[in-house]
Parts: sequence; structure tokens; C-alpha cells
Amino acid sequence: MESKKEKIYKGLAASKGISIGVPFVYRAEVPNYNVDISSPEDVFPEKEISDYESAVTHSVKELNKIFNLAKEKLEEKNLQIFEAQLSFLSDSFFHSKVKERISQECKPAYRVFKEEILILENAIVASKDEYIRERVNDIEDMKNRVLRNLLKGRLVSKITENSIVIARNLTPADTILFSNRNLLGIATDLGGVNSHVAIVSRSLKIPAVVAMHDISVSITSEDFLIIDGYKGIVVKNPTEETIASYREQVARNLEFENRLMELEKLPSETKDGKAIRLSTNLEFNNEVDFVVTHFGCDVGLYRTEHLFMEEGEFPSEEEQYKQYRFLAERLYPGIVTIRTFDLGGDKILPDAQKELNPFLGWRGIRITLDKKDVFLSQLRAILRASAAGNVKIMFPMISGIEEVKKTLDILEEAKAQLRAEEIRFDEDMKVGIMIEIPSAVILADELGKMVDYFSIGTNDLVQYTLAVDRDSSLVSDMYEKFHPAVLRMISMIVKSAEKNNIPVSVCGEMASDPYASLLLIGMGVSELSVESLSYLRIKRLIRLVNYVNASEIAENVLRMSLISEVKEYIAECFNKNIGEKLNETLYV
Amino acid sequence: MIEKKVKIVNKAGMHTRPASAIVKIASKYRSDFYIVKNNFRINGKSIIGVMTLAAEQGSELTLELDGEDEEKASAELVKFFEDGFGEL
Repeated sequence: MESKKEKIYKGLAASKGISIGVPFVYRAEVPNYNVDISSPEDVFPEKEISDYESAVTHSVKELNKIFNLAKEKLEEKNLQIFEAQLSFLSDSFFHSKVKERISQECKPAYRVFKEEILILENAIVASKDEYIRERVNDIEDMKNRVLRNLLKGRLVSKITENSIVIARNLTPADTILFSNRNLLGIATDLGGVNSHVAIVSRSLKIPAVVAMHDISVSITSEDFLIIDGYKGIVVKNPTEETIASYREQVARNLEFENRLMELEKLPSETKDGKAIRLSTNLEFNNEVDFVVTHFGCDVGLYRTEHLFMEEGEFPSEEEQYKQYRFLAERLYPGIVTIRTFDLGGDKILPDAQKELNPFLGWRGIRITLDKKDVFLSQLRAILRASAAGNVKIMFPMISGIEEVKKTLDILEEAKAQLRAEEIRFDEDMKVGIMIEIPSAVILADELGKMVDYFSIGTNDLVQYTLAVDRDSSLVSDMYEKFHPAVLRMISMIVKSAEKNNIPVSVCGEMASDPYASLLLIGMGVSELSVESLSYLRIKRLIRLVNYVNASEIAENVLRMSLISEVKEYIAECFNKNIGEKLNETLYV
Repeated sequence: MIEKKVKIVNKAGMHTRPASAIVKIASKYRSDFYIVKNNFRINGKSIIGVMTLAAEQGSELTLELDGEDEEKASAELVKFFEDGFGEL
């Protein structure tokens, strides 16, 4: 037998973690519908109808089981898709029609069912409305489930215990079912970092990699695998050494996580005493308690898009006020920075036209400036929540001076309305803008005169500076936060902020990366807002470095012109210059 | 029998959630309920039927109700449409 060689497959990291184990190759058991298994004379309508009925009953049973599991494991808002699918399966009028056609046309059940679903799919995709057209995905589960049950395909929920699932693609239902079988990890050919499988595996805390192209045909059950959900890779048939080093990493991570807990109550300052404000990014309410109890820190970025996404409509001023006030009260005396709706790009409004380049299109402040009523109601809600004095506001996607002028005018209008209505708010509420578009970097000196602080959104800044769409698998390799142009941009922003004597924070992914945050601190960034998962790790880093050393390192890096040079140099600094302990912060 | 003309006014249109709400309302009543859009007539008590209409914002529909409680049923359904399925 040919000896098995180690081979690495690259994809996208969808859910953090490492898993080591045997694969379970899951082939979507969609039977071959196109084979006509019976000619009309072989069809016995009564049998077809009773088969159909039991297939439907069975499907409802399966989905109910999945729904109950999902209820234990997922948040309320992620459950709606399962509810909708159950209601489709329970449509007795639809089933009557299928059964009627079976007996009249003497066709096998699976064909009639397929034709009826096709009519539905065609009707939906014919809609002029993008949002309605996308509903076609909602019926996919019903279609596959009933067909599979009709053709007696068995549900492969009986995966081998403790295995890594490899598949072309997984539905949310598959993922939930598998999770009950001590699933170790997931790797799929398709999917992006925000696909259903990615979201569900993150909430289940299962390591996952997606967009692996053809992993499902490259792996067999005889292979042995490592899923690296940090780097987004799969290692097939790793050598003993590779396995050992990954096992070591897993053990180290565990021990490191435990030690990090000790840092919860310690101040966030460098070894030589410079305070760095460390805050977290927040999206959902259920994280608030954790943040308050464990970190007692500020929220440097509260994203409001989810309020829209859950409803599919802009929430009313009252709904928003309730939400913002809840946060402000819960965090008090901590500060919450509320960012106004940053929709568009990949978060599409139902009434938006389909754009060829959504990231260069109608998004962020452009949408809210066009929809003044929506904007005013959000501004009023934020202002009202600011009464206790611990709310800051922040505007996304600023590209120039006019936008800030218009925005501030509308903010003044909202304030004037509230004054006239004698509603209390914080007259000194701090106003900041996101710096994430190169034009704003170039104009930062002037923008700094108009606002109270800057916040750097590194994800978009990298994308717009380098003209790289990181969701495009063809160029995502070029998305590089250590690109010298990106680093110099950031340094320009910090200098402009210093000139204007205003603080500057970083709220993008860069702040959560130990290498990058060392540079950010060195460049003079005064606040890092990180994902709550990275909070203690970054605090550890801050407490391990001397600000003086960090500045030197940043200065050196800003003179470099190659990405590789930058990366090698920082790695070296982590290893030698500042002491071995820094490397611990890289444990993942 | 009653016929009422209604218009879809909410932005997202008659998507999955409102469709299921319409079916729920209609199913409380004994009257038969049909929805007509551009000569396409579907049973309004069938969620899949309602989804087939794929009615986006601005679509004009006719609600047909027939039965002993048609008055009450049509009043509640028409109101639900006029309220933009509670999404305005």
C-alpha cells in the first residue's frame, strides 16, 4: 500500500478551534431523482399515496426532532428557519393536491411532488423582488427531506461518534443533528464565513472550515485529519510530528485559557504604565452580562444592524430606545459606543437594488443619509438613551467632509426636536466617525476638527486600501493587514488624531490579533475594541509589553516595504526582543 | 361570497413570515379563502399556495371569502394586509 503523505488543504476559517480525528465523509444523500424508477403501468396509486403520507409523516418527525434540538442549542432568532420549514411540511392543502394528482395521473409520488415543488420554486424565482426570490432557499429542506424519505434514503444522522464531518455542503438541520453525535469538526466544499453552517458551528463551538473547494472528494474514510479552525486549513494524514505539535497546541490553549482568567480584574496597562483602553465589540444582548461580570469594560462598538436584520424592517424609535437604554443601564458606569446602521455591502436591504459592487455601493452612512426618517428616529433613540452620560455615537462609512456636515446637521435637528419636546439627553454626547475608507484617511486632519474621536474599522480599511474583496476566493490571499500601505494608513490616522488632540480607537479584527495590536499600541492607538473571545488575550499582551519598545517596533515596521519583512520582524520581536512570554498570547 | 381588493404595502412583501400568519388567521374561520393575483388563484389556507404568489411590495390581490363567517374573516384579513403585516 502506498504510504500516506501529509497534505494540506486551504479554505476559510469559519469557527475557531482544533480537532484531530477520523473523518466521516457525508454525501448529501439526495437520491438520483432523474432516474425514472417506474413506468405508469407499474404505479399503484394507493401505494404511492400511502408511501407519500408516510414520507411526510416521517419528515415532520425528523424535523421536529431537529427543531427540539435546535431549541436547546440556538438562539431564538436562529430558530425561525426551522419553524417555517415545519409549517411547509404541515400544509395539508398541498399534500391533498399531490395525492389527487397521483391518483388521477397514475404517476409515482416522488415525481408529482417534485413537479409541484418546481411550480412553487419557479413562481418564487420569477418575482421581481430580490428578497422574495431568496425565499426559494426556505423550501429546499422540505424538498430534499420528503424526496429522500420517499425514495427510502436513510438519514445519515448516525455518524460515527467523535468524527470530523466532511461534506459538499451542510444545511442548518444537518449541522444540528450531527452536533448530537459528538461531532469533532466540520469541513465543507462550499459556504462562506457567514453561511448557515459557519454561524451554526460557531454557536455550537465546533471547529469548522469552509470553502475547501473539493475536500469532500479528496478525503476517504481511511484518512486521518486535523481541522485547524484558526488558520482555515485541513491537514490530511498528518505526520507524527504534526499531530504532536497540534496536540501540544490544544493542551497549551487549554492551560493558557485557564491562566487568562486571572487577568480579569487587573488593569489594562503596559509594563511601563501606559493605560490602553480595552473594550469589547458587542452585537447581541446575551453577551452583555458576560462582559459586565467578567470584564467590567466599555463597549467600543455596538453594532445595530441586527435590530434591522431580525425584523427585516427598520425598528421603531421606541424599540431602539428600549434596546439602547437597556445597554446603557446595564453597562453603567461603563460606556457604550453605538454605531448607527451599517447596512449594505453583504447586509442587504429588501428594497435595495441589486448592485454589481455592493461594497462600493449603497451602504452605511449613505443609506441613512438617504433615508432621513430612519436616521432621525435612530438618532433620537440614541440621544434619549444617552441621558445618563455614558453613550457615545459613531457613524460608519464616512468618505468625506460633506457627509460629516450633513450627518451633524441631522444630529442637531434630532437634538432640537428633543429639546422642543423637553426630552432629556446628554448635551455633551461624544460624536465619532469610523475611518475605514482611504479618502477619509487623507482628509483625517480636517475630519478631526469636526468630531470628538476616530475609530478605525480595519476590515474595511484593508479591503478598500488594497482593493481586495476578501470573500472572493480568487483574491482573498491578497487581503493582508500587514501590508505596508495599510500600516502607514493607520499611522496617518493616528497622527491626524494627535494633531487634533482627539482619541483614536481600533475596532476591527486587527485589534484582536496579538501581532497587529502590538503595532497598534506602538503607533499610539489609545483604545482597542476587541471581540469578547480575545479580550483577555489582548489584555495579557498589553500587560507584557513596554510602550517604549512597542513604539520602536512600530517605527521600524513603518519603514519596511515588504509584507514578508513586516511579518518576519514582528514574529522575531515576539520571540526574542520582548521575551518569550509574549508568544503565549499567540496560543489559540 | 365577498371579494376584497388589497395591496401589499410592506417593503419585504409577502415573504415567509407574513405568509404563515395569513394562513393562521384564515384557518381560524370556517369560510373558504382564496387569493387571486393576476388571474392566478390559490387556496389562502395553504402556506405553500400563498408562497407561490411571490407577491412583492405593490402587488394587487383579490381576497375571496365564502362561508358563514366571511364578514368577520374578511375584516381581519383585510386589516392585516392594510397594516403591512405589522411590518410598517
